[in-house]
Amino acid sequence: MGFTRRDLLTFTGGSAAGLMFTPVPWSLLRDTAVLSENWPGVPQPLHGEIRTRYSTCTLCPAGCGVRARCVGDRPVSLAGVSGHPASRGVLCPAGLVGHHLAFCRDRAAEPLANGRPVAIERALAGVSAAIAACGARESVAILDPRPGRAASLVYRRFLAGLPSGVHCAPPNAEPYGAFGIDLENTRAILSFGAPVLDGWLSPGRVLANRSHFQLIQVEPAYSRTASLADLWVPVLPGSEDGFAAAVARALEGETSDTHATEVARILLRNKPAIAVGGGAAVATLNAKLGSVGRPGGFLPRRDFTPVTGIASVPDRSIGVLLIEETAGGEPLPWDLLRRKLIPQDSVVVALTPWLDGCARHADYVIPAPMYLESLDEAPTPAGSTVAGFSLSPALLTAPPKLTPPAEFVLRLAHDSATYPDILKQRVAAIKKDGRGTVFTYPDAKSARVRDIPDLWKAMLGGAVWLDEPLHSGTVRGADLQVCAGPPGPALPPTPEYPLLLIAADNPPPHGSPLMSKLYRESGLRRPANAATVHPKTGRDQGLEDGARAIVTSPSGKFPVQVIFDAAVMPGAIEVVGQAISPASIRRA
Amino acid sequence: MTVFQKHRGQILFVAGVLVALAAGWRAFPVLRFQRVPQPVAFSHKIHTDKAGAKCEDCHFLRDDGAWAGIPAMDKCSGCHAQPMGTSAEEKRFIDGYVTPGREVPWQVYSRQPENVYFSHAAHIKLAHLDCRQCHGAQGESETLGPARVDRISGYSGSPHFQDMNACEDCHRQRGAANSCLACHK
Repeated sequence: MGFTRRDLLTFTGGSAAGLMFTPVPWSLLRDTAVLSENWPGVPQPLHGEIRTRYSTCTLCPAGCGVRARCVGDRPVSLAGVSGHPASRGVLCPAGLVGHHLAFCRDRAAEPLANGRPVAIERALAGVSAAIAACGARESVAILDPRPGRAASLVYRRFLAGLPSGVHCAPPNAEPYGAFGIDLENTRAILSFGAPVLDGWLSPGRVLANRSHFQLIQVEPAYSRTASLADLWVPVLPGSEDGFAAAVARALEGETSDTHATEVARILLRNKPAIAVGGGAAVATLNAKLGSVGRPGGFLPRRDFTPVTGIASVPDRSIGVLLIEETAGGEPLPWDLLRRKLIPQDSVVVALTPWLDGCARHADYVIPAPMYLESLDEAPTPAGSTVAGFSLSPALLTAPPKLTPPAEFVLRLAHDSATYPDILKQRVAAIKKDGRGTVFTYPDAKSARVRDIPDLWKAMLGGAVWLDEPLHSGTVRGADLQVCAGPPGPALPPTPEYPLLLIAADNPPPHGSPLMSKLYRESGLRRPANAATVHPKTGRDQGLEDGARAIVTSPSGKFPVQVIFDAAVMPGAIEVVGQAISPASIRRA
Repeated sequence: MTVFQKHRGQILFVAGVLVALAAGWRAFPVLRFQRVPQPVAFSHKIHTDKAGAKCEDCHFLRDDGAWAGIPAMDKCSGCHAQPMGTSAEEKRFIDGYVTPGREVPWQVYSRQPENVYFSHAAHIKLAHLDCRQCHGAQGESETLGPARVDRISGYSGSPHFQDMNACEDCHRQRGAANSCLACHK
C-alpha cells in the first residue's frame, strides 16, 4: 500500500500541529513585523563613533548655537548650546530637525536653464551674457535675504563694478535697522502683530526674559502669541497704526479710546517699555515712550549697513535679478518682485536649494547647499544690541553640483577668491580689531578676542563673536525709522473687494505650534493654500468649510481651500505670506 | 492487519508532529541566522593581557555622557601605526585599515530596531552594573565570534546580547522603570 493523499494530509496536519509547539511561528511573526524597517531605501543611521560637533543655525536670523550628536560623520540629533548668549540653550522646532532638510525631495540637485539641466559653466555664461546685455537703464539686482553677512559684501563689491547694480533686501529683512532690543531690561512690550512668543528674535532669549515683561498683543487674529499675552487687544486689520497713534495720545492723556488708555496705563506702570511691529506710528510711539537709545529699549549697534528695500526699487527697472533663497523664513513676495522686472525682457536667477519658491519663476536655477551642507556664516543675531558673527561649519556631506550663492557671484565677477576665503577675511578683520568677546560652544566660556590665538580655528569649532556695546553718539527717537509689521491697507475695502486679506502664521516648521504648545484646530488641518475665514464671513460669501474658492485682490487671483475658524476676525481672509490688501472670495 | 496499518493515521500524525518539533527546535534556530564573520580577528585577551588595557580604555563614557561605543581607527592607530608583531592578520589589518585610514566595518552584535533606546550611562553610573553582567566574558575572548544576523529582520540574534526578557527581568528585580516607554522611545 503506497503513500496516499490522505497520508500526506495527515502527516502535514501533524507537522502543522507540531510547529505550534516550536519557536517557528512566533519568531516568524516577530521578524516579519519588523522586516520593513530594513527594506532598501529606508534611511538607516550610520553606526560608528559617537561625537559631539558644533555649528550655528542659519535657518533664520536668530543665530542659535547648535550642538550636534553625530554617529560617524552624520548628525542624528541637534540641540541648543547651553549658555549661548543669543539662544540660551534653546533651539526652535525647525532648528531641532534642521539636519533633515538635506533629505527633502524638492531640492535643486543640478543647475537648470529654463527647466532643463545644464552645466554650471553654461549657466554662468548665460547669466554673464544677460548681465552684459543690460543697458544703462536696466539694473542688475541681487536680492539678499540677510544683509550684513560676508556674502553681502561679495554682492556689494560685484554690483559696484556694474553700471547699474542694486543690492536690495526683501521686506522686513532688517526690521529694526541699526538697533537691537535690550530685552533683558524691558518691562513691557506692546506688540503690533509681532509673533513675540512664537519664534520672534531669538526664541530662547525671549523665553528666558518672559517673566520680566508684560506683553500686550495688538492683532486682529487670536494668534498663539495673542493667546499667551497678558492682554490681547483685537483691532481691525490695517488699523494698527491708528491704534498706535491713539496709545501715543493716551500717554499724554489726550484720548477717549478706552483700550488705548488701558494700554497706556500698563506701559507707564511698567517702564522701560517698547513698541514693536507696526509702521511709522509705532516709531513715533517709541519716541514718546523714550525707549530709543536707553536701557530696556532700542540700543544702537555698530554693524548696520543700510540696504535698499525691494519695495522702493522702481517698477519695471530690473533686467537681471539674482535671488538668494538659502535662508529660511518668510516666503518672498513674487508678485512684488515681478513688478520690479522689465516685462518679457528680464532674466531671473534663483540661487536656492529648493525647487519651489522663486525657482518656479526663474530662468536659471543654481542649486545651493542646504543648511549644514557647507561652511556658512551667521551675522548678528536678530534683536541683539551688539554686533555678532559666527561660522556655521558643515556637518553633512553635500552632494555634487552645488554652488554656494556667494561663490556663484564670485565666479560671475571672475574673482579667484572662494567663499571660505571671504569668511577668513572677516574673521581676520575681527581679530585685527581685537574688540569684543568670543563665546566658545564646547566649553561654554567667554574670552576676549585678543586672548584667543587662533580665532579661525576657534570659530570653526563652534563659537560666536560679540562686539562691545556702542555707547558713543546721540540717538534720537526719530532715528528708529525702520520697523517690521503689517503696513496699513493700500486701499480701503470696496464693493468689488469687500474683505481684507491678512497674513496668517507661517506654516510649520517656521511657524510651528510646538514653540508655544498651542494648537489651533484650523492650523492642524491647514493645507498649503488655505484661506481661513470667520464662519459668518464664509457663509455671507456663500462658502462652506472645506470649499474650494478663488481669492481676488488688485494684485491678482489665486485658488484656495476655505477653512472656517472663529478665531479670525469677521471681514478678514487669513492667508499665509500675504500682505494686507482688499480682496474678495468666491466659490471656485 | 498489522499495527501500522491499523493505526496508520495516528502514526503519521505523530510522525508529522515529531518531525516538526525536531525541525522547529533544532534546524530552525540554525537556519534562521546568518553567521557573519568579523572583518578583523580581534583578540580582547591580547589587548587586556599583553597591552594591559582595561575595558574603559576603549569603551568609555564621554564627558557629555554619550557612550563612545566601538573605538574608531584613531584609537587603534595610536598603537598600530607600526605593525605590532609579524602575524599575517596584523599585516592585513595595517595594510587594509590603518595605513589608508579606513574605519573597520565591525559587525555589531547588538543591532536592534532603532526604536530601542539603551543608555550605557544609566546602567553604569546609576545602576553600577559591571560590564560582565551583560557582556559575559567577552573581554577575555581570544577571538570575536561571528555576528548572528536574523535572515528576515536583519537584526542581531547574537547570544552576547541581552534580549528583551532579560532586560525586563533585571529591571523587575532591581525595581527599575519597566514600562514600554522606558526603552522604546
